[in-house]
Amino acid sequence: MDSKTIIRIQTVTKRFGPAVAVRNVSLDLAEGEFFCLLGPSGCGKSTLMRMIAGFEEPDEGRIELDGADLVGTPPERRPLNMMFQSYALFPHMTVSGNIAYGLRRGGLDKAEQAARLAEMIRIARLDGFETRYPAQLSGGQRQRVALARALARRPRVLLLDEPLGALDRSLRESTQAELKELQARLGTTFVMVTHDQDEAMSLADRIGIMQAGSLIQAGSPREVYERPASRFVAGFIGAANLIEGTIIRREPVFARIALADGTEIEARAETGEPGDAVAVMVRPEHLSLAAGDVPGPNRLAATVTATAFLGDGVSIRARLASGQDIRVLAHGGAPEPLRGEAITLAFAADAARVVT
Amino acid sequence: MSGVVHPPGEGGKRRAPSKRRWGSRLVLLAPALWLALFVLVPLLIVVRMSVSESVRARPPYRPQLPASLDPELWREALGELTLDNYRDLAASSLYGEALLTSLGLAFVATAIILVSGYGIALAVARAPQNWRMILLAAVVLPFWTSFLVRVYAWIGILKSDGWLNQAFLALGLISAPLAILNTNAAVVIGLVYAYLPFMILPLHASLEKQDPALLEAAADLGASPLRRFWTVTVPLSLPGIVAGSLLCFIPMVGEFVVPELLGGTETLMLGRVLWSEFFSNANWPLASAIAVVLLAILILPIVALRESERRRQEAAS
Ligand SMILES: Nc1ncnc2c1ncn2[C@@H]1O[C@H](COP(=O)(O)OP(=O)(O)OP(=O)(O)O)[C@@H](O)[C@H]1O
Ligand SMILES: [Mg+2]
Repeated sequence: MDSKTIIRIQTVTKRFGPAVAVRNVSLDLAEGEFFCLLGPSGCGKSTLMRMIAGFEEPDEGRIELDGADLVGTPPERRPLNMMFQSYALFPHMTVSGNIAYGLRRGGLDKAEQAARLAEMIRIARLDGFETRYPAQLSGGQRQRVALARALARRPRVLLLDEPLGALDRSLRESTQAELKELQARLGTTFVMVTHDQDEAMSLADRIGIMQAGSLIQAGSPREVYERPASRFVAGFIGAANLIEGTIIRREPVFARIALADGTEIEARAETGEPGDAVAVMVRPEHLSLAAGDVPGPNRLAATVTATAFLGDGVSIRARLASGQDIRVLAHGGAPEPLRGEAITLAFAADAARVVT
Repeated sequence: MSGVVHPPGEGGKRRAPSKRRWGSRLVLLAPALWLALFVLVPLLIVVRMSVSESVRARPPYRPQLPASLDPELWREALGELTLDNYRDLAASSLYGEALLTSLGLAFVATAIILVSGYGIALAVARAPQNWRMILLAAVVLPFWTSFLVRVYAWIGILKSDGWLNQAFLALGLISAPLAILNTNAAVVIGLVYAYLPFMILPLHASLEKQDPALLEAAADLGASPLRRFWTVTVPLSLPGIVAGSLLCFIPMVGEFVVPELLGGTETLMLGRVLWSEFFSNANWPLASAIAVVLLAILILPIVALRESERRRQEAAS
């Protein structure tokens, strides 16, 4: 990946009246990367995108494109395009009319415009639908028209606000693959909003997680999955068990944590001092069933409350002595425990992480 | 066990549609009845009158339709029906001129109303939510006063020593009072004033429901504010433009009060001609013929519009 910065967002804040929609966000986007913005509803994802596109102006901070300040430049003069969540297709124009709309002022002559239109129709697999109106298209076709229209001008950056939100599950998955392939082929920087974490994990080179207007963490899918910056991120990206405890000893890489019932466990730690109340994050797939009477480090006693057979494994819900619920994903031919059975869960200290 | 199992409540569900059919029939019956009673019957009376003959009698036309069902009497009465009134209309240049004047003034007024009404409707539609209701109320507020009184008030504004001339004189814009009252200009001013709300309301309705994201999308695709207006706002408000224009143009062509109060003797609009044929000359048949011709002329563009709309939809699907 080219690491040249194309968009630099510096300490941007946006308020709507007393409410802060985006709070002091700083973020660099590299040329050609696929960046996914992830976060719960109302956390400011759309607002941040709209500020990049130029529909809203930040109250504080600046947004740069190729080192030049974008603030004050109207959307029609920014070399970026946006694909709207509602698609915002022009209902009175045909598929061709919609896709060609942005080409009229793109500095292309008539022949180049026609060639670009034909290319976009082909890429979006809309051949034969050129003269249809948006109302005469299926949801998936509309989505492709919106994408083709936004890409027709060959923007430096394409902003996609929940582009797949309106599609059903199966169409969504095939479209994700197409989107990723298209982005790789065109080399355009994509910034995509989604609140589907699986989608973000499978598409993005980097993921940014927002919470209440702030950007909590930005990093590769592996980074945010394995080293979440907070409990919120840990819980938001993938399934996570957060076991509450207190640090009792700190080593360079690991920390020893005491749980409320006196059990002591060990986990990787980057922050935290002895005495701090923290949570230990263990992913369900990193927990395994241990024979109950074999002593060892990182053992948790629990009682099974529910099990579900998943085909390639068994999902187990269990309750710790502290009353906390915990999820386990046991793989392969592990024997399926019964409801109410007392089990012992084990995990490697390497797979557990202290989060604050 | 096999076969189709009817869930309980299926029977009740099946009865519902037929009930709904009855309901929808009733719902359709009401407007049909209304149309028959208040549109079709009066129209037939006017058409029948227009092919009668004017006489000095009571009622002032002939033939009277027989009260009995005797076919002989009916044949005689129907044989007396005549197209003479239409021939008279075609023969005299007066009516043609009145028609052209009416169409011309209505056209000019509609154009002015469209341009100014569009600006107002756009401003209302883009105003903050809590302002919109207040602004719309202001648009329809004049309806609380009688139409006649409001048009009459314009005499006081437009006459040679009226407010407008006094204001212009005071500002030094003119040195002698302008003769506005009793001219075609006064009629157009009156028409614009009286019919503006009928343009604003349908325009506002179609502008307000436009998705603001469409304008953002257009801006995002490089369109300047002016281009956004012409390529997105205007085409999407076309139904409002058509509805508003028809709502203004059609009644303005037959308008009587405004030309009567504000127009001069030379402002011959069809409404006035019709009125004088009916009340001054007591020529009911000729007045009816004028009404029928006017109706035909005004219906034609609507039919043509519907037709082109239908053809476009067919082409689209
Ligand atoms: N035009 C506006 N006026 C007032 N408040 C706004 C406006 N736009 C957004 N907000 C507020 O700013 C906050 C962030 O909104 P935003 O649309 O950016 O959320 P989001 O992360 O995109 O949510 P979602 O996932 O539901 O789309 C919300 O609390 C919202 O109510
Ligand atoms: Mg949003």
